[in-house]
Parts: sequence; structure tokens; C-alpha cells
Amino acid sequence: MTEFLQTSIFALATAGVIAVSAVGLTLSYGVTRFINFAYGEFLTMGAFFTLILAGAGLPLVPAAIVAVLLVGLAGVLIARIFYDPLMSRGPFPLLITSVGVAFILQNLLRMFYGSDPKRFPVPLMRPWHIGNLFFPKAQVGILLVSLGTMLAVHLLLRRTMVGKMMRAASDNEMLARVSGVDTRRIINITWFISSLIAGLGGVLLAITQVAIQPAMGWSFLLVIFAATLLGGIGRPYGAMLGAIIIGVGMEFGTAYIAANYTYAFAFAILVVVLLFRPQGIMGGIT
Amino acid sequence: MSGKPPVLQVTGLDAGYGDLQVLHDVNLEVYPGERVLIFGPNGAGKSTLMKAVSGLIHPWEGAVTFNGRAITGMPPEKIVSLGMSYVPQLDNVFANLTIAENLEIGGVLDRRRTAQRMQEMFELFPVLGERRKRMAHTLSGGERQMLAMARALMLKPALLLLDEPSAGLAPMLVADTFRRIVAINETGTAILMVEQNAKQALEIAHRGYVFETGRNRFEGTGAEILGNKELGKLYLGEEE
Ligand SMILES: Nc1ncnc2c1ncn2[C@@H]1O[C@H](COP(=O)(O)OP(=O)(O)O)[C@@H](O)[C@H]1O
Ligand SMILES: [Mg+2]
Repeated sequence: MTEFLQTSIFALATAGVIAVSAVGLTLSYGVTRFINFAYGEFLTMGAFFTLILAGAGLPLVPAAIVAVLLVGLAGVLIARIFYDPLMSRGPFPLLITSVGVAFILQNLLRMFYGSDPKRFPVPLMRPWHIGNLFFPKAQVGILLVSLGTMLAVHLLLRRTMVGKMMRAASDNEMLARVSGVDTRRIINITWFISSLIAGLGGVLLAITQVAIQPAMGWSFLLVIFAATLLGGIGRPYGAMLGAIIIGVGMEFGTAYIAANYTYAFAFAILVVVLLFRPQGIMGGIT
Repeated sequence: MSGKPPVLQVTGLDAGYGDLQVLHDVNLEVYPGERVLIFGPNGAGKSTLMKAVSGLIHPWEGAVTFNGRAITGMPPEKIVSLGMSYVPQLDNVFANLTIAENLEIGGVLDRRRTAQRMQEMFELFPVLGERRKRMAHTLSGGERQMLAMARALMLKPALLLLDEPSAGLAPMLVADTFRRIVAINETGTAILMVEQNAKQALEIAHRGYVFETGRNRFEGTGAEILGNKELGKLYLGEEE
């Protein structure tokens, strides 16, 4: 029982990392209708920028905030240079280009930072104990940041005009335009928010990992896709639910079945669910 | 009409998709306060004309002027800001937004007046007010058409383009829709609408245009069109 509860604590933190990352991806897909394969590198950038800024003397939290904003800007820039010119050419050129962008970014990170793993500057903190259970502060922090992010995305989409315009553009771009929505501006804002959330996902991911490395985001992309597809791509609430299922599945699979195949569990769950519900678990709800 | 300049003037318009030319030298005017009908067989290019006027497709040749200003080739979000709103034939509501959110998007260019306009829309279409928090995809066909119209009216446009507002509606609702269109027009919004229910629509239209294969075929007042034997046989389902 204790082991089960203990695993649950880690599972929820993992689910939080995935949820944050998946929501960012699904937002950009929802508005632009293309799957950005360089998204994983946006996570890596979040982790590396934080590392660089922390190395320059900033405390972890301010370093992470600045890093995440920088990733947001980088995302807008990358989209304008590489993706916008291809938007009218259908999904295939965009997909290939985004894979290319992924490799360029990954290699740039490798060039500037070397390929050997780096430790992420999380200070060692004593976990909280409640009975037999221990709550590592980093894990609790991840969970709180993830919940805060989900709430912020929810409020953005339901309560702000920008969020409503994002949903309108996602729903029916032509109708949004004839209603007076400047969809180009909305796409830029979406890239900013989506990339910023990716950067945050990268920081959270880095906290859970022993070391960070230039390919960390790329490998994690599979897990993000699994949660996103499971939730029905383009559906933020679905992505959150998908993330919980994948995160829990990964942690319990690792704890109870085989420790070396964490990411494979994500994929296995995806395959099983999609066999039964090809539209994802949230099919029909947006 | 009383010498006033037209709100909308289309001259010598050619337009199409890719290599396919749909509109050939189309001419049309709408004067302030008018209700103008466009009809003609399926595929005649009526919807294409609406798209070219509202900015969704780029005309190849010719000119569109709105209140004396050239708007040919302007993007749709700019055209709507000048006072012309458009209700497309298909997919004319945001299915995954609530009724209220659909109207908010309709009013996005004048957000200070959104709350007041929304109230006015709920008075004009009470059923929308009752369902304001519901997603648009839960509405019936008739309610959707109302929402589509209400969304387009949020900015109090000088000209409203309606593409087949009565399509797919039960006969009782068709008459209802036309009554509302007259009511909207009487608040000062000129109407340019495409309709298949031509006979009924002609009863409320001041003037009408008949299109065939992307060309002007005939134009005249409602009475002139209704009295034209040949058109009657072809498009109004009249017997000899
Ligand atoms: N998006 C499009 N791409 C290519 N051809 C189109 C498109 N929309 C309409 N068409 C073609 O243009 C012609 C006119 O269509 P449309 O303007 O919709 O006619 P109407 O509204 O009078 O029924 C038709 O031959 C139709 O097949
Ligand atoms: Mg049509």
C-alpha cells in the first residue's frame, strides 16, 4: 500500500510534466493544424537556457522564468522564418521542415553545450514526511506548477478574448477572419504561448531527470505525442487527461513491471487506447 | 434609387479558384437601405461572388467598392471593419464556442459595445438568449442560422451579405427568417442575399439579379422578375 501511494506521488508529478508539455503542443496544433516536430527541442531549450542563466548567477526560479520567456520568443521567430511561408502548402512540407528544424536546434544546442550530460541546478532539499510516505519538494513543486499551468490555460481559453479568438481561429479560420479576427496575429500569439509552455515543460522535465542532454526533448516527444493523441489532438482538456493516463501508466509500469522501459509504456498505452477509440478518449468534446 | 450613391458596387468582376474561372464580368449594385436578392441555378457562382465581395477570395479582374471606397483584394478582417458583414452558406457558426462566445467574436472589432449589442441580439432572437452558455453545435438548424445572422450583426453593419439563409429550414421557419431579415433591414442595414426559395424571397426583395454560369442574366424589381414568363418557368417553378 505504501509503495502504491509512494509511486502515485511520482506518477502525478510525471503526469504534470507531460500535461504541461502536451497542452502546449495541442494549442499550437489546434490553431495551425500542423504537428511541430521541433516541439521537443523547445523543451530542451527551456532546460538549457535555464542552465545557462543559472550558470551566470541567477537563482533557479528567475532563471527558469527568463528562459521560458526566451523560448516563447524563439518559438515565434522560428515559426515566422520556417513555418509561416509554408502554411498554405498543406501539411507535408511543414512536417518535413519541422523535423529539419528539430535537428538544427538539437545540433546547435550540442555545439554550444557539448554532448555530455549536465546536472540541472536543483538544490538538494529534504523531502516532507507524512507517515511512511515521503514527498520530495521538487515533485510537489512540479505538481503545483503543472496545476497552475493547467488553470492558467483554462482561464486563457475560456475567459480572455485572446483565448476565445484562438479557439475561434482553431474552429473555423475563414469565419474568424470575416468576423474581424486578425488570424495572423492570433497565430503569432499561439506560437508564443505554445513555445513558452514547451520551455516550462522542459524545465519541469529537467528537474525529474538525473542529467540533461541535447536530445532529451526529442526523446520525450514520443511521450508528449502519446498524451496529445490520446486526448484527441487539438483538444487541451483531452491532452490533460491523456497526460494523467500516460504519466500514471509510465510510473506504475516502471515500478511494477520493468524499470528500463519507461517511455515504451507510454507508447503501449497509446496503441491500446487508439485500437479501441481511434479518435482519442475525448472524442467529440473540445 | 433617389440618386444616393450605392453602398456596394461591383463592376466587371472576374474571379475563380486556381485555373477555374467562375465569375465573368459580373456587375451589381446595392443602394443604402435596399434588400437585394441574387438567385440562379446551383453552381452559377452566387457563393463565389459573396466570397469575392467579402474578401475571402481575391478577384482576378474588376472592382468592388464599398461606400465609395475601393476594397478589391482587401483582406476580410479589414472589410468587416468598414461595415460589411457576411454570413457564409456553410459552416457559419463557431461550433465549439458557446452562443455568447460566437457573438463576442462577432463583436471583436468593437468590444465596448459588445454587451449592449448582445442584449439586442437576444431580443431579436430570444432563443439564443436562453441558450447563451451552450455550445453552438448543440443548436438546431434554424437556431444556427439565427446565431450566424446575429454574429454578423454584432458590429451593426451597413451591409449584410446572406448566403442562403433559409437553406434546409422547415417551411414555417423560412417565412420567419424572411420576416427577421426585413426587420433587420428596417433598422438601416442594407441586405444582399442569395436564396433558392426565390419566389418567397422576391416578395420581400426590392430588386433582384438572376445569375447563370457566372454571368449576369437578368435584373429588375421583384415584380419585374416575378412577371417574367421565361424566368418564371426556369427558376420559379411556374406552369404555363
Ligand atoms: N473552393 C472551391 N474550389 C474550387 N471550385 C469551387 C470552390 N467553390 C466552388 N467552386 C466551383 O465554383 C462554381 C460555382 O460555385 P458556387 O459559387 O458555390 O455556386 P452557387 O453558390 O451559385 O451554387 C462551381 O462549379 C463550384 O464547383
Ligand atoms: Mg452557393
